[in-house]
Amino acid sequence: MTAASGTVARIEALRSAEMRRKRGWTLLFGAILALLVALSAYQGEVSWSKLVNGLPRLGTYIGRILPDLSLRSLGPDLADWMWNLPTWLSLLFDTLLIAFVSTVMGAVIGFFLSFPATRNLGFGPVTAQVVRRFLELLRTVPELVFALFFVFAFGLGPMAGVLAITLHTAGVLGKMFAEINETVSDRSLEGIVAAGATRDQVIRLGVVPQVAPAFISYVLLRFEINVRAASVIGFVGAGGIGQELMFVINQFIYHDISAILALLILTVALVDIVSEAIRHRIISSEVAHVPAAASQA
Amino acid sequence: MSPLPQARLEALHARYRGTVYPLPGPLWRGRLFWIGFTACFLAASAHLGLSPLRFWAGLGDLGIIAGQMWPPTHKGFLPEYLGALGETLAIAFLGTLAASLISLPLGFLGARNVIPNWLIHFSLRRGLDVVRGVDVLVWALIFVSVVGLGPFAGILAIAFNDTGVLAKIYAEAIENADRKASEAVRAAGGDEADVARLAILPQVFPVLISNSLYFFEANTRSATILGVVGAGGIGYFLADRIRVSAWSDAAFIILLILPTVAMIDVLSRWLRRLALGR
Amino acid sequence: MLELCSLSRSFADVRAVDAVSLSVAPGEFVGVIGRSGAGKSTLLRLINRLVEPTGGEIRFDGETVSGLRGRSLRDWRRRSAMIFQQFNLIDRLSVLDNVLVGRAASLPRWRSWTMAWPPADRAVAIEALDRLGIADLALKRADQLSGGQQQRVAIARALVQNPQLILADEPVASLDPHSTKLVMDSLARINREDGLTVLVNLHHLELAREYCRRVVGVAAGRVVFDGAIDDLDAEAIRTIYGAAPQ
Ligand SMILES: Nc1ncnc2c1ncn2[C@@H]1O[C@H](COP(=O)(O)OP(=O)(O)OP(=O)(O)O)[C@@H](O)[C@H]1O
Ligand SMILES: [Mg+2]
Repeated sequence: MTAASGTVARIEALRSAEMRRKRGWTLLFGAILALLVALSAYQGEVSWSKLVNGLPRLGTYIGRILPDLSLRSLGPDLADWMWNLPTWLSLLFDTLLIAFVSTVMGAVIGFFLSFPATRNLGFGPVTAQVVRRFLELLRTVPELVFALFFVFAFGLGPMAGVLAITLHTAGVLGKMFAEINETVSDRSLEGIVAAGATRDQVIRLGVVPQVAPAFISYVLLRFEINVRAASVIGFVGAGGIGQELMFVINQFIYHDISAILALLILTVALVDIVSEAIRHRIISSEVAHVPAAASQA
Repeated sequence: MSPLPQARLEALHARYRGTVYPLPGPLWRGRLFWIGFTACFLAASAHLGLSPLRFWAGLGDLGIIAGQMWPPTHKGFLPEYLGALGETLAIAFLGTLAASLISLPLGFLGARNVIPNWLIHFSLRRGLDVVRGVDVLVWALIFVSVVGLGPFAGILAIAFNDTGVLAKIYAEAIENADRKASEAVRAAGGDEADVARLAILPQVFPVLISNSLYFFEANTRSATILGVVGAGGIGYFLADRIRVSAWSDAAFIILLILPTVAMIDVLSRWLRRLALGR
Repeated sequence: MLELCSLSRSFADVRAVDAVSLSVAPGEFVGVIGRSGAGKSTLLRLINRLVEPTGGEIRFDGETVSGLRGRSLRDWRRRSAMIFQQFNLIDRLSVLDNVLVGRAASLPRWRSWTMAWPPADRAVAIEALDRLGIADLALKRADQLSGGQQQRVAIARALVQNPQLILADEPVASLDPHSTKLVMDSLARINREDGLTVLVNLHHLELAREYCRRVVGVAAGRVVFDGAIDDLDAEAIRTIYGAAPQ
C-alpha cells in the first residue's frame, strides 16, 4: 500500500517536472517567436494601418481585373476579353518551349554531374565534394539572377532565359540524381565489375537501368516547376509571356491582366495533368514488376 | 568464345524470336521515340533562337563580366545591403508564418475526413490550384500595384502563394491521419472540434511544422529576388547593380546572399529535426 | 594453372585470408569449405581482384595477375568469372541483357552505352541460356525469375565472358534443393564439357562430397585441409569446422 502510493507519488512528481520542463520550452519558443515577429514586422515595414488599408484595395483590384462577361452576350464578351489571344498564345507557347528546352538541357547536365557527385561509385571523396559544392551553387542562385546576367551576355530574348533555367535545373536535378544513385544496390554493380567492365560501363549497365524511372519522374516534376519559372523569366527580358504580363500589370490594363493570368493558369494546369498522368504510369508500371517469385532468403 | 556459324544464328533466331535479332516493333519504337524527341528539342531550340554561335559569343561576354566581378566591393553600401538582407529574411519569415496560420484552417476545410461536403472540398482545392499555378513573382508584381512598392507587397505575395501549396499539403496530411484516434475521441463523447483538436492536430503537427520550416527555406530563396519587381529585400540592389553593369557590386551582393541562404538551410534543418524528434 | 603464393588479406585486425598457398590445375573442380567467417568469400574475391591482397601473389599460367592494373586487370576479371550467392543481376534489365553484360568487356565502348549488342554476341548469349535450359525466359525481366533461374542467368553471364576460370561463391546457399541440384549440375557440366576450372565455395559437406573431387578446407583464413574428397575423414572435418562438425 505505502510502496504503491510511493510509486504513484514518484511518477506524479516526474510527470509534473516533465510538464514544467515542457512548459518552459514552450514559453521560450513562444518568446523567441514573438520577438522574431516583432523584429520582422519592423524590418518588413508592416503596420496595422497598412493591413487595414491594403486588404480592401485588393478587393477593388480583383473587381477591376475581372472581365465583363454576361450570359446573354457571352461570345462577343469573351472575344473582347481575349482580344489579343494569338499573341498571348504564341508567348505561352514560347514559355512552354523555354521550359522544355531548359529542362532537357538541365537534366542532361545534371545527369552527367550526378555520377561524380555520388559517393559510392569510386570517383573519390574529393571529386564528390567539389561537384556537390558546384551543384549547390547552381541551385542556390535563383534563375532570375542568372537571367539578369545572361540578358547582358546573350542579349534580350529566350536564349538568356533558357540558359538561366538550365543552370538552376542542372543544380537541382544533379543533387537529386546523386541521392538516387546512392540507393542503388552495390551488389548488382559488383556483378558487372567482376565481369571486367569499366566504370562507365558499370554506370551505364548497372546504375542507369535502376535509377531511370525515378530520374524520369523527377525530370517531369521539374518540368512542371520550370513552366512556372519560364512564365516570369520575361520580367527581366529573358523571353516568354512574362514581359507582356509585367507590362499589363504595370500599366494597369486590368482586363488583360485577368486574361493572361487565366490563360497561364490553364496552361500550367494542363501541363500538370499530363505530366502527372505520365508519372503515375511510370510508378504503376514499376509496381507491376515486383518480383514474381519469392526466391531469396 | 568462337563466333557461331551463321546457320546456327538463324536456327536460334527461328527458335527464340526477338533474341538474336531484336524484334522490329520494340526496336523501332525506341528509335522513333529518340528521333522524335531530338527533333522536337532541336526545333524548339531553333524556334527560341538558340544557336551555338550566339552561345560562344555570349560566353566571351560572360567571361569579361566574370573578370570584372573580382574583387567584390560594396562601395560603402554595406549597411544598406545588410538592412535589405534583413528585410529579405523578414519577408520570408512573416510570409511563411502568415501562410501557415491561414492554411491550417483551410487544410481542415479541404480534408475529406473533416468536411465531408464534396462541394466545399472541391471548390477549395481548385481555388488553391489557381493560386499554385502562378509563380510568386507574379503575385508580388500584382501586390506591388495594389499596396505599393516595398516589403509589404512581398510578404503578401509569399503568404498568398504559399497558402495555396501549404493548405493542400495540410489537407492531405489531415486526410492521412490515423482514423483510430479520431474514433477514440468520438467514442469518448467528443464533438468534431474535439476530434480536430485532440485526435488530428497532434498527429499532423510535426508534418505542419516541418513543412512550414521547409517553406521558410524556399521562401528565403524566393525573397532574395522579390526586389526585382520592387517587392522589397536585397533583390532590388542586386537587379539595380546588374542593370548599371556594376559587376563587382553585384558579386558582393551575391556573396552576401549565398551564405545567408546556406545558414537558413542549416538552421531550418536543425529545427526540423528537433520538431520531428519529439 | 592457378597458383596462390602465401596470399593474405587483413581487414583492420581480422586476418580474413592468411598466407594461403594453393595451386589448381586446369579443368579441376575444387570445393572450398569452411565455417562462416573462415574467409572463403574473401579468398575468391581476392582471385577475381574485387578485393586487393595485403600480401602474397596470384599467378595464372605463369603470369602474375595480382599486380595487374587498368585494361589488363579488367581482362583478368573477364577471364576469372564470378558467380555470387545473391546472383548480383540487374533487376530491371532483361535476362538477355544481363547475360550480355558478360560480353561488355569484349566489345567497343559504344556498344554498352547504346546497349545495341551485335547479333553474333546476342546469339552467343542465347546459346548459353539454351545450354542452361532457360532460353525461353530471355526477354523477361531478371527480377521476374525464381532464384534458381536467376542463378543460371548468372552462370550464363559467366560463360559468355569466355573465361578460363569460374569462381562461384556459395552459388546455392539461397536456393531450394531442386534449384540447388540444377545449378550444381550446370556447373559440373560446364567443368566437364568445356574443361573450365571451377572453384566453388560450399556450406554443405554433402554437396562437396557429391560434386567435388578435391576439397580445400579453410579455417580462420588458413588452409587446413587440401586433398581428395575421399581423404576427408572425421579428424579433418573437425579441424575445418572446429568443435562442432556439421
Ligand atoms: N569488407 C570487409 N570489411 C571488414 N571485414 C571483412 C570484410 N569482408 C570480410 N571481412 C571479415 O573477414 C572474415 C572472412 O569473411 P568471409 O566473408 O570471407 O567469410 P566466409 O567464409 O565467406 O563466411 P560465410 O560462410 O559467412 O560467407 C570475417 O571475419 C569477416 O568479418
Ligand atoms: Mg561468404
